[in-house]
Amino acid sequence: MTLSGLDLASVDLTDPDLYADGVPHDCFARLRETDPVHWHPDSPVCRGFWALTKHADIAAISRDPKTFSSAAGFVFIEDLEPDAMEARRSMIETDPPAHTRLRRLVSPLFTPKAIAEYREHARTIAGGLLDHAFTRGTFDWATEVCEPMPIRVFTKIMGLEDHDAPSLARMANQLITVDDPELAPSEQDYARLRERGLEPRLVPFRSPAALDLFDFGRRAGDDRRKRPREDLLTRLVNAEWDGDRLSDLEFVNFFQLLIFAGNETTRTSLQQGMLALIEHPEQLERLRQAPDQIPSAVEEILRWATPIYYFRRTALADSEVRGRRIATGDKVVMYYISGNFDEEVFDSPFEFDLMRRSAGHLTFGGGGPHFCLGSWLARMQLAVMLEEFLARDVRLELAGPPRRLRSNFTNGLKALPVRVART
Amino acid sequence: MTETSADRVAVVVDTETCIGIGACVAAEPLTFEVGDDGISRVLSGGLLPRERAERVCSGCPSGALSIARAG
Repeated sequence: MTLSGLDLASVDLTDPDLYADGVPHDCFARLRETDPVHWHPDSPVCRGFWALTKHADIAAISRDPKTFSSAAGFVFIEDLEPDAMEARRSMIETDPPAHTRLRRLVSPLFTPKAIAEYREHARTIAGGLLDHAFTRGTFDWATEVCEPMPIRVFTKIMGLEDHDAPSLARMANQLITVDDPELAPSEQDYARLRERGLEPRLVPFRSPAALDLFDFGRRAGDDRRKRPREDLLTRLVNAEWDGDRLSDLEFVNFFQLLIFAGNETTRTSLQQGMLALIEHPEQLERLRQAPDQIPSAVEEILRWATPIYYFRRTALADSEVRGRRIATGDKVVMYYISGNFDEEVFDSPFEFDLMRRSAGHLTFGGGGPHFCLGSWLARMQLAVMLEEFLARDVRLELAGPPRRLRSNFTNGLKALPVRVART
Repeated sequence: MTETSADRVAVVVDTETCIGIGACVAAEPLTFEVGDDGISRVLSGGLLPRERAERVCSGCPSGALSIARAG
């Protein structure tokens, strides 16, 4: 890695093209080394912000929601007007104690014990997808395996029908493709927003697909109000926020959040995990010899994949991080993608090592109230996929170049063409 | 050395902070459970050897666990 020619003042971390050929690890390594609390100037995307790149700082800020708020300015780098925040707020954009109440409504469904009940269901799905794909020989790992898997598990937990999974997956995908010219919403999609008196800034991710998810959630929610069941959806429609039932807007935003979070992140981990195994065949062989190491392999894949590059906080009070003064109102962006490769925390961080002793990656966040709700669900699905993959005694090789999603937020792949090779 | 009850300590859950992630349940399934209220609780008589108690406290992502002070 050549770092000397890199001018940090001119690096634009908000530019989706910076991530086009891969995570810009050289930039982040340089930031960790020379300017770990970096003032990032205004960019075409947003006002200036603090870019935090050290593992320890990210953990400290995540655990201090009194100083670093998720509610005040939301969790994305973009600057939102008050009416946009009102229209888009969901659980991840609240602070304790309101957050705590919302979180506890849903957390009982995501404990290790609760998730274990879905393990065999996930295994059936993974096995079926692998068998189907392997019969074809050459296929796209990203769209044929990673896309259907998490949404089919999640519809089960949510209490939705199996046959709704493909359209839900499509809607969830479209939330995060607004910056990719190939997959961006069409003029017609934006026209649908305008017909309902909405501008893109007033819906989650500025994506018209959010409206489709809202409509879907509304229909499903109406059904559960009439016919309650033992499922997540029924819990949501009966949920209370500040003593009241969730309003229609609060409900559909919550629904949208769960569908997004329960789908996109696990999908990306499954994609990047397989790409890493293809690029490091010796690691796959080690795991084949020691399948009891799957839990540590899952943690390494999570670290390596880092599906979400960052989340943002807004300072509610003046504070100091590593001698830099952060003022009330400043934006603070926590680059998990950097913290997960912090040399101070991980030995040889750029080695993909499935037997690595866990040092606490930041893929589920740095701790604190917003720690990933679905962490056990994600781990379970990755473990089941590895188990089913190993049971089939094959390995995959690239059948074409992986194609990255154009995004400054997620590490997703649009395509991962592979072919089956016997071991 | 035989382990005596004196070596074992109680862990307490801060019910204001706990959001029921269940890291404690995964680490010590015989000592913790997450209830329907979304909050972890210590199962009756749940004492842990000090070292394991310290590990489970530091492993709580939301910082809701601590070792009960003696007396």
